[in-house]
Amino acid sequence: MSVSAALYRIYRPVLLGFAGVLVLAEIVFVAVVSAIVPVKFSMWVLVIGSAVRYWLLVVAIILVATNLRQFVTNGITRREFALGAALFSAGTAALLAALMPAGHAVESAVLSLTHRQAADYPSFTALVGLEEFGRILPGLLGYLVSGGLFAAVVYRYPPWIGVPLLIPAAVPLAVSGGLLGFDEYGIPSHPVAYPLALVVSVVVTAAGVAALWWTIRDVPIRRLAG
Amino acid sequence: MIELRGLTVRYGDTVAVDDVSLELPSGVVYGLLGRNGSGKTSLLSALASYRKPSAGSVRVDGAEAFENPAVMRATTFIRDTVDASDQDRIRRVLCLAAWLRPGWDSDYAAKLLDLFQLDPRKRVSALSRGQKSALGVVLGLAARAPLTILDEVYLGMDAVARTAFYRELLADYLAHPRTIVLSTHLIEEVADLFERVIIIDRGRVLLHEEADALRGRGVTVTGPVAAVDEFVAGRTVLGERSLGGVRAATVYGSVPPADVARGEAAGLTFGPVGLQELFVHLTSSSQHLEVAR
Amino acid sequence: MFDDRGPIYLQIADGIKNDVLSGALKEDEQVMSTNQYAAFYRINPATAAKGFAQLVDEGVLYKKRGIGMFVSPDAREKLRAARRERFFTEVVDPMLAEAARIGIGVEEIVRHLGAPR
Repeated sequence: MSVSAALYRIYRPVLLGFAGVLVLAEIVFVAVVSAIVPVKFSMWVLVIGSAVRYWLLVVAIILVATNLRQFVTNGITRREFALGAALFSAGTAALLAALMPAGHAVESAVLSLTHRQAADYPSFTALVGLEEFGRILPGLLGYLVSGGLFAAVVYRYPPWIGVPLLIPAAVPLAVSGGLLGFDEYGIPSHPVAYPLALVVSVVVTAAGVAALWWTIRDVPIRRLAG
Repeated sequence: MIELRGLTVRYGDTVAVDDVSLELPSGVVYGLLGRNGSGKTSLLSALASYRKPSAGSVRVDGAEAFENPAVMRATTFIRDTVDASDQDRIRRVLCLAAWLRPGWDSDYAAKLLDLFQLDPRKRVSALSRGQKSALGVVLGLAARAPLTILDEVYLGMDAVARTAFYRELLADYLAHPRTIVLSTHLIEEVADLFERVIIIDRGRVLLHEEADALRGRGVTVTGPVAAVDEFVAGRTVLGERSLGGVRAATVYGSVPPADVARGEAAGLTFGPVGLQELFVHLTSSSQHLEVAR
Repeated sequence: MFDDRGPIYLQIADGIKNDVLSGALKEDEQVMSTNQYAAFYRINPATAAKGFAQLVDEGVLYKKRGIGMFVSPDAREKLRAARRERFFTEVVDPMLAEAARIGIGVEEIVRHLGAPR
């Protein structure tokens, strides 16, 4: 079985459970809030969007802190694992990024049909959906890379080197999140023009990937504490 | 064939494995003996590609081992602390092995779980020390890897479990011959299973010989101090003990029967030196016997 | 089963020789395979094989290709003859040396030998 296939099998129940919780939370929140006031912001994009980022951050940490050693001790090379994990996590990120406009579309439609959309609510259109996907995906990739780097520097280096390295490790996360984020209504914020933001984000994330690979390509697999 | 050439493993300023070169033909059961801190585990880590050598190389069948998919698939390294996540259930740990290990035998793994009385539904964190070791043994044996490295896997196992382990190890080796490297401190228990013995001391190889050649490589000579001293003059003495007028000396090297007869006539008694005793003498002596191969 | 007194393969060879001498192993009878031997006595098969090879060299065993190892037809006689040769040097002489050490005279020994058993 390939590394990415094995990872999908390991994380599938977690992913499904997580998605289930998100949908449930969304339904409950929208139902509760819209019963009181018209909804001003996209709950799905803002809150669920944040949840998804942090979830992927944690997944990336676990991939490096736990799964790497699991796979290497079963005869997989670090390189094979890195490629498989990259495929798996990027695929999952793309899936979740696509889920954002999809969910937004549903939320928008439901609120519109029940006349609970406030004036400021970011109504869903195909264009809005496309922009959301284009902003969220790089952001998720940045969070993934930073998560991996957090785990990698802490595992490989002694604390006095590892802990300070956490700061540069956060750069992909900060840059992608900052340049391609959303405001409090769920409308994309534009500190810089999208093309520039995208390029910067991609470059920073790619640098993060290179740093991550450099850290784990020959990392020793130490014994677990007895 | 496994070749270690100039293998060196360093941790900062400490040299754990110092320029080790070994040629290990496949299909043999090797006993790797060494004191704590001798560099045994570091050597095995490098052999299994768990750690990149600081210098030198590890080659398996001519190919560089580190990060080599074919070599790593064919190698299993089981350590005293079993490499399995605490949260996982045993079932899940074995599942992952089944997905990734090409030679994995699920039926054999199930049989071994039964033998060591391991409940597949139990989490790794809930296992006792001995049960964790048993899990390690299951992982090591059921993988049927052409190179199987077992580093002090018996830790925490009681005598019954250890006996079962040795019996299973031999049975599976007979049925599926492969290269097995056993690192152990309980030498006398396993010594009969070794075909070859490698002794490592302070990062270097002290010797690499057929196990049978080492049996009878040592002789203890006991008797009056003067007679013993006369007898051992010119021979390699590994150690001696004295009590009053009696001395017991351990001599390294074979003693021809004629000399034995003469010695007995002079009032000396001769005794055998087992593998474990020989190992203790060789690695605790202050003068170094570097019998390189 | 095996102790520290020397290489195991020699102890194996001695064990089988004793079995041949005592009749436990008959001539032209098949002996256990090296794997069976190894599993039974809990030793490495290469060691067992070495012991068997030693016996083949000495003519005590012979190999039938594809079938296994068998006791040579004249093994018992050969072993007896070899043991006979060494009986006096390896058994009697040490006994006499021990007797001298503890002060037992040859006449005492002869008396003991002649006494009814």
